[in-house]
Amino acid sequence: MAIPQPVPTPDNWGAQLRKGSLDLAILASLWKKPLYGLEMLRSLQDGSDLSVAEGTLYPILNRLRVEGLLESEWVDSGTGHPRKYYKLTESGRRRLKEMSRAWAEFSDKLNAILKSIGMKG
Amino acid sequence: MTPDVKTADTIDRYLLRFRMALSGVKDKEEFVSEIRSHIVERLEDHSRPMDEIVEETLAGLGAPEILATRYRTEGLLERASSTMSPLLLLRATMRWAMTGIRGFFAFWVLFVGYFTAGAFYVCAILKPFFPDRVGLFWGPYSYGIGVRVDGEPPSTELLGMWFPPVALALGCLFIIGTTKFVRWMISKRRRAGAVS
Repeated sequence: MAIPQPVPTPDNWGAQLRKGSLDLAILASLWKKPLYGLEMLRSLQDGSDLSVAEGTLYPILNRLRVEGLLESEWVDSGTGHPRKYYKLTESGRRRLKEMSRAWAEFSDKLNAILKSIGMKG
Repeated sequence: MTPDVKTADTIDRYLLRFRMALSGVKDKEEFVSEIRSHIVERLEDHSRPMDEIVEETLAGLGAPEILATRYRTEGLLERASSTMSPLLLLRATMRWAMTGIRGFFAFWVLFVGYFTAGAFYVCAILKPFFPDRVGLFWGPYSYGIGVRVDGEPPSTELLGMWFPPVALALGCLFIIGTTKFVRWMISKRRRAGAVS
């Protein structure tokens, strides 16, 4: 399955919006179970239409791991090569809940504004 | 799927460049192994020609030097967020400055702060040698702190030989204040989860 690259937007707004929500999306993709990098990319793409470049994902995963939000573990995949699985730490779960709450509040307020101009029902 | 010789060579060359670009980075081999694992995982897709998949994967990962820069920037900023070393902070913010406006602002603050501190130290050292030209000058025609040159209107130097310790203390304050402020900026960036 091909991994599509992020679609360039005429201005920087789309890219900034995607950047700002990447950490939240990545942490959320790990809520139910540990995933390895490629699995995460596909999950983000299928679940949120958020196409993350492969070269962007791994440095972010490393940063989240360094911050103590994620743990990683090499697991033998049974296909002849190991996979590095990531899972949320307790601190990561707490952080994800805080971020989700903040995101929900923010989007509710923004939706209220968009509703007034007829862009959001 | 086992890659053919040409494809394996392309992958090896990419990983070699990545490893070289990560020179000096802690966990270098871990990062290389993860990228190798990702590429191999992508090759499990049997629906398309292997060289096409490899080309697409390497394009998605970006140039190995740029990919390494992302890891290096994160590593440097992580160390810089808890250091008092001006050199490490300068290196980290310089790298951060290349990725966005906040990084540029942090570097600018750090540069101005340290430059000011350095100017105070130089004045403190020069004061014993040029007592009438270095100090805190106060009226009646001009005010200021630092070195006065020929041709400037006369004014009174207030601190005398107290100037060196005061200038040294101000230099220290600027160093500590600038360092703490920039460290706070770095920590804030990391807490916010920014990628640039």
